[in-house]
Amino acid sequence: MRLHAANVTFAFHRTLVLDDVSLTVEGGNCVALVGESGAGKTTLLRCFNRMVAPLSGEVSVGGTDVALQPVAELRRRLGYVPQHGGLLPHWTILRNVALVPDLLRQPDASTTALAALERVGLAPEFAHRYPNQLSGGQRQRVALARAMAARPQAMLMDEPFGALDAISRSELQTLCSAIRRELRITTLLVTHDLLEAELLADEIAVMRQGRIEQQGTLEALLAAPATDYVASLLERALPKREARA
Amino acid sequence: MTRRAIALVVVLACTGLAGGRAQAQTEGARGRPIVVASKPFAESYLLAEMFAQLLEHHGVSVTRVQGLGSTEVVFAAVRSGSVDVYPEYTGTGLTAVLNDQLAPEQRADPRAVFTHVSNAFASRFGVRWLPPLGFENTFAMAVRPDTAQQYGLRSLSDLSRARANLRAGFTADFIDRPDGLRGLRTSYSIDPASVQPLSPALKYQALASGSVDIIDGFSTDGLVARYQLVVLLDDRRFFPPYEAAAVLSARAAGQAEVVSALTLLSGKVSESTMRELNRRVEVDREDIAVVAASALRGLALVSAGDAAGPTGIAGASGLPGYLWQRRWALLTHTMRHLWLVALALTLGALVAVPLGLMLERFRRLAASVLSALGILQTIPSIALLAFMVPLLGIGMVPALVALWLYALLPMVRATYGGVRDADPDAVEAAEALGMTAVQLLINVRLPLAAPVIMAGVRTAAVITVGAATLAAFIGAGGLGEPIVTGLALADSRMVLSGALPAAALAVVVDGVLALVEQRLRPAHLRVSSPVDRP
Repeated sequence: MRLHAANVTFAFHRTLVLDDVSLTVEGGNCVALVGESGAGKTTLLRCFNRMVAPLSGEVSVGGTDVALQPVAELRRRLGYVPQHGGLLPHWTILRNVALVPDLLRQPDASTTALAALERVGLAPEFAHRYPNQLSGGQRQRVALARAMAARPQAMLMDEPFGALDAISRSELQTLCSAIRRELRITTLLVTHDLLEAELLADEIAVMRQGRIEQQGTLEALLAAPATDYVASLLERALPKREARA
Repeated sequence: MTRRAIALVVVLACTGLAGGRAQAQTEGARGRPIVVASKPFAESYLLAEMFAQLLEHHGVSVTRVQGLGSTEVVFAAVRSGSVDVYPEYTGTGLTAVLNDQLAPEQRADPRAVFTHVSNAFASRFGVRWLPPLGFENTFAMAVRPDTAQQYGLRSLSDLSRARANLRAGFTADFIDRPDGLRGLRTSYSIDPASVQPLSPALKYQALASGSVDIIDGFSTDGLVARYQLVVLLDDRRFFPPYEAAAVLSARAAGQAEVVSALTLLSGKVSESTMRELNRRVEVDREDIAVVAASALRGLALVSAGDAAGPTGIAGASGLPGYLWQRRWALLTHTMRHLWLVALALTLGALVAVPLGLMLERFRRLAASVLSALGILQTIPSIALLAFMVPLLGIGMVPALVALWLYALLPMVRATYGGVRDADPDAVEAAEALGMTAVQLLINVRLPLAAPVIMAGVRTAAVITVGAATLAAFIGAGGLGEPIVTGLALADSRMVLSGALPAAALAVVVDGVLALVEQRLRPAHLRVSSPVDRP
């Protein structure tokens, strides 16, 4: 399922947040959007599930303009993992994970949810606990399970591991990478961590001040950085590799 | 279960209102009983009860609404026709209602004042005064007999001549009124050595015990007789005449049997008779109905054995005994109180919760709507209730509307705030995963806001239980009724018999709602978290 944005513009309080941005995530691929805070990464990601409506330009999922798709149905087809998990605190883990299958009225929603929990490495006894009884890493696993439980056509991940400690983050990155490669889900990943981008993504898109400076594989970016900003970003983030190159 | 409960309450509320309407319709304009009202002080209760018994004796059916808030409330009710008869004083009509200035010689003449007041009421308001009952209840400067003897005091002129150094204990009202102390100073050049503001209930004791030497009273106060006080004659007619008379709504004035029955009392009640009757109520604590019946017998307006009324309550029993004796009346008051509160609260919630949700959607409106409701909240309850009378008459409906208005703010604010502040990450994620706005509201926002909303409902409930005691001032009944009557009769047991159940009710209602709140509390707040958050 291909994700595509063409010449997208968005402004908030008279500030240009997205400035004529185009981005493509080929079906089954993972693209990491990297850049500083305020570069417009999250806004661009939220254009795909219509949490943000661009002022101009076209955003399409699977070749169809998102503006032409019923919004709830569109969102149910797109997995979503926000930074803080966004679990519903008053629901059990099982009900949280079964959210999208339930919305889609799948009869075996609980079974699906249990399978998803198992896939992210959480034992069935977690199913009937509440989010506040879990650690941060466990909660983020649940968020991941919830996003993939209904086998979405694409995943939107917004700094999914940004709030975790180093060990949990590394565990989850490995888990996420494995699941992605196994399921071949098209993924758009927002991160400010180039190492994470390298681990999870097929391509990297560097954003700065509402524009995409360059999109390509890490190798391509390293070989020929399009702008000084891309070059300095890579240099700062991956000094060892730079030394080796 | 909740849905069924809500449906039940709505149905009850609708049938309650529909029942009220149906009742009003079948009774029609002429068939409705004559509504006899009084103001909240003993003499007014007594006269109204005499009116009521006299009317009943002549075959007129009567509804009693005793202790209505103030002159403004009763007058507005008579003018609008929701009250038909009440006892009023010409001086009060002149100063408090008409606010007319009369020439001094006219103002000093009771006949002239009565003519002026009754003509003005008839032409301006369509309200009719029957001929005066025969006594005046005017401001009375009272002194102890020994003071009167020492300075040779019989009138206020004597007092000004004597230049006695008297310590005064006046009610705050009297100290401020232009026809009170200020007027006394100018027209009689009376200047007390000291003026102490005293509450009406205390001033007689203060005078009797010698703490003060002169007080302002009313000429027919029962306590004047009890303490054998000397009332100084207002020989320059500084105070306007306060002749008591029955005041009739246009509807009652149009019914010959009402007019002829009540006119039987005109000119029959002397000042000494009234003072004696007041003494029996205020000092001997006899039941008002009993005193009224014996007064009518004494005037030969009803035959002996007629209009027996309930027997007086034994004065000796303590508060628990008193409460026990009045248990059925108290139960009725409590049920009515609960009904008022429940209805006001339910109707309030039916508006407040949707309004709070709407404000959360259109937040630009929130500040102005909430401050408008806040202003409403700052209006004193008694004033808000009084505002309702010209619009909605007296009784249950205006009380309900006022209480409903009071209940709104806490519930609107709680709903708005609770829904607005519901875990934003969770709300955002649920929306991004495809919940519709309605699903989001029902499954996420409302459950997360439930504890805050319930806290608002509890606040509103406690406020309403308290404010509903004031509903008695506009004839809505409830636990305020014994409080108002008890205050009027200076009967602390009666006050407590309303105040204690009302306080208990507030505690019980709050407790019951706390249980409901616990049941509505989202599941995650009920479980303790065994894992420390990182």
